[in-house]
Amino acid sequence: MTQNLTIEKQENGFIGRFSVMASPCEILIDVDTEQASDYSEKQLEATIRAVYEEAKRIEQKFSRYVKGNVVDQMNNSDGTPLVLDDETSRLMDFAFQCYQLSDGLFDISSGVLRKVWTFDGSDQVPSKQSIQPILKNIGLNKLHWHSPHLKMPADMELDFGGIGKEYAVDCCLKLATETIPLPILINFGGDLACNGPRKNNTPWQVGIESVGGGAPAAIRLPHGALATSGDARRYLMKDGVRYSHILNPLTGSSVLGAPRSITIAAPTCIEAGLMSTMAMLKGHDAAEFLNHQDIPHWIQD
Amino acid sequence: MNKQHKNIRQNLKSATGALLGTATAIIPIASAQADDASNDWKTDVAVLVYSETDRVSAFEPAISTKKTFDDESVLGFKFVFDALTGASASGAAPADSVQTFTRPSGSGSYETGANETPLDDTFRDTRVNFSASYEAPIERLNKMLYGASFSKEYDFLSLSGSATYFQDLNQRNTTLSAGVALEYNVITPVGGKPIALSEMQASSEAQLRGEANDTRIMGEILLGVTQIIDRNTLMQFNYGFALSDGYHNDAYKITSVLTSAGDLIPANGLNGTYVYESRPETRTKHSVYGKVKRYLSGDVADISYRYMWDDWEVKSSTVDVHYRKNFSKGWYLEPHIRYYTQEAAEFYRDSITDTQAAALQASKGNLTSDYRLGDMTATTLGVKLGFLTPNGNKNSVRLEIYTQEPDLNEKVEAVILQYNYSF
Repeated sequence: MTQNLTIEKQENGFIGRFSVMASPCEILIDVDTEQASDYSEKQLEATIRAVYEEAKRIEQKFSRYVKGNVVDQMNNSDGTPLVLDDETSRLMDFAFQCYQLSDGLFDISSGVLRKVWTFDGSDQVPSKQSIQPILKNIGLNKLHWHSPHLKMPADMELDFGGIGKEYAVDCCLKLATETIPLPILINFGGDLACNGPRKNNTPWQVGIESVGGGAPAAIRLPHGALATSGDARRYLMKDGVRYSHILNPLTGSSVLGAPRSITIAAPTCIEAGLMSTMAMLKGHDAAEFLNHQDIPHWIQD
Repeated sequence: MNKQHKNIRQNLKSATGALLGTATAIIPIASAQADDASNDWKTDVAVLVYSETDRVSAFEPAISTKKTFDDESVLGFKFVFDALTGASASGAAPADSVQTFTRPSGSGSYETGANETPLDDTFRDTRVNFSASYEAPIERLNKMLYGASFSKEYDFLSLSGSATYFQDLNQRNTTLSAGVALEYNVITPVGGKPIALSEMQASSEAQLRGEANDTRIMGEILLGVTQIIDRNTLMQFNYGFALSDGYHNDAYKITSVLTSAGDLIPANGLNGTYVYESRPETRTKHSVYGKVKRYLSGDVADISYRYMWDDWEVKSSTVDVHYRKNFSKGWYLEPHIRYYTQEAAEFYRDSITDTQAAALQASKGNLTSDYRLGDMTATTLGVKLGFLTPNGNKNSVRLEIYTQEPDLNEKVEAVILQYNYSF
């Protein structure tokens, strides 16, 4: 399975590259490879491999495309009660808390809207009549969740896609740091986290790509994580109105007026990711919402 | 349309804590200090007005600025100007008749009415203080903080320097610190240094004064631990040990010498007898300090306690409580309560008898009537309002009422008003 993984040794460290969750992923270990280190090359490579395995494990466990995993079991439970494992229970708790914090806007059961929305850049905007019948299958409040016991109505579906990648970044960083306490940065398709400044105490330099005419930005990241939400490539365009792939689970309609992309800095990747997603869900009010959060953010419009 | 957006950051943080199951470096101010590539100077300007009823008032503008460089080092400067005017208690006891005192310069005098606390009305000073700090990371988990300060008043000069080492441990959940500080003071009392325990002379007479100035040197060691308890709680402990050697007297403080019946004893051309204070040449101080800071769903509460004791037998306790209530749009309201209680130095007396004065003069003993070394309690009640200007810069206004209740002397009340602007 590891043919997907490449490890490259450079003057100033090791880079592992692989692809999971449909994203290009990187792990950077900042170490002077010209000099003797406390950690052998074998150890560094083993750590990179462990990170890759961990990312793969999370993908296999929580992807809704994998048959027979815990998500598949939940989505096909047909109303029968399930007992979830520890990790899944913690993610469920987290999803419920985010649902409450966002007043229902962040909802991991909103994926069924895919049945009517296809974001292919076309003008196929679904009608209200076609959306309406789907709404009754959306809403985490319709689940019976008392950790670890779950009972989910038939016809509802959960999708951890909105949390999974950021969660994987945090888990992988934790795993890597526990094995080798060297400066490490983990980047899964632009959602990234580091365990502190680089070896010479300088912050990591992270670029945010220019989207829709916005200026590219360089961010200095001494600690913590960055995550970006956006609709750069996934949208519909009809009568000059841009329908973002960000959908409001309460109305089933596309959120209008959201910025093209929002990047957030936070102590962990999952916090950054959730904050940027919640801001996107506020549409026109995204900037206003972020101004109330007292959190470093970059908006591209 | 003006929608209310609640601040969900702290709640999201606690939810993440439960999910990831670690307490790694969430509270430290340094977490996720992502910044644009611009390295601008961050500047604070503040104006403080302090006003005691019928006594000292102070006007204190200050400006500070700091910059973080690419290597995470931080350079900061601060400049403070103080203008003090008003009267301060001289230490002499109230009497049932009018009392006359010679001014510190030795020329001229002032009077205090019957049953009034004698106040030296010549208290007037300006102070300038300039300080610089430099924080330099060493490696990933440790850093040094250096500080230097210069302060000048009409009759006082202070130079100081400090160095503190910080070490992060335990996945940055624990920070240990150890620091040393040195301070050198030159005291140049108006009219020269009064001879300790000598009697105040009428302004028409020659005063008993020694050299024009004297010095004092102080060294201090500070040890600290900061510990993250969980995602929302931070604890801090410090221990300080300070030694100072040199001239400790306040040259303007005197003690009334009374008969055993408590009456004034006319002498030296004045209608009372007053001796200048005499403090020990050395002082050894210890202090312990503990603080707990906790995030409470978006708000921040902190409580701290300090206990200080020294070999003059002064003992003091300070309890300080802040609660910061955060509102939307960067507004916050922060009530503050501080309670201070102090036990007097063993050589503190409100007044002494002529027999005691003679014994002290013979033994070159110690004596002060300075209320700052007496038994006292002090309470501060305050509130701070923080808000953002439309350009996003931070502002705050702080109003505090300070009440000092010395055991036997008159109560002192003061109002403190401060405005702060950051850009």
